[in-house]
Amino acid sequence: MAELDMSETISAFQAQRPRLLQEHGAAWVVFISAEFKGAFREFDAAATFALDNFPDAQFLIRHTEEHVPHVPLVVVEAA
Amino acid sequence: MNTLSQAPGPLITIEGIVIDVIIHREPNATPADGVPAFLEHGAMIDTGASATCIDYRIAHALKLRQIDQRTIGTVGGPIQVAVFLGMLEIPQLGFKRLDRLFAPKIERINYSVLTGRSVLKEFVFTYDGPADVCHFARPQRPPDHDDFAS
Repeated sequence: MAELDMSETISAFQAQRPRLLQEHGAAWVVFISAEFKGAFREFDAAATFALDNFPDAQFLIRHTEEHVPHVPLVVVEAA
Repeated sequence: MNTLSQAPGPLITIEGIVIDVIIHREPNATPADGVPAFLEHGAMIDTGASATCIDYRIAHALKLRQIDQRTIGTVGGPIQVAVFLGMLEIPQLGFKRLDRLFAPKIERINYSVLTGRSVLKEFVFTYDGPADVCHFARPQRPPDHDDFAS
């Protein structure tokens, strides 16, 4: 299964992130393509909203304040 | 009095640092031939991980929905991973929730999942080194942070 390139949607999120932070604060946001669809306090609320309303769409869910996630223990397979 | 003894719920003790988890497909996922509804795996409890990680083969086997792609920090440097949506269940803890599942290519040892602070933030958690057991209890109030500044 090939992984998707979501860079276009992520770029839209990054471009709108200052406004989203101002309007919604710390929140999980849902994007479809470049379009903001909603903001939620909890991840599972954002995911449930997206699944209920856009079950066939490719959506992005990301937090407005999240920095680089850390997973120090991951040992990556050799290519 | 320590925080564990103040927790209102029962104290749950796990031997070692690997706990059984079940990764489910998203609710109402369209059934597909050869795609199981869930997979059971051992998950290492990893306080150093900010989020839940699964071996990418789990995401592929369950045909999970990709919801993001991120660069994450590891001991070997930053790597690009896909992020999937799935239901994470930890039966021993009574935990079941939609979660973000980061899917790097984990080199398997005796676990294929890392349970990080996105789950641990919901529990008062201690590790008893001499006994090699973990204790979990539900706190009196919900977490007041998202742990995103790390």
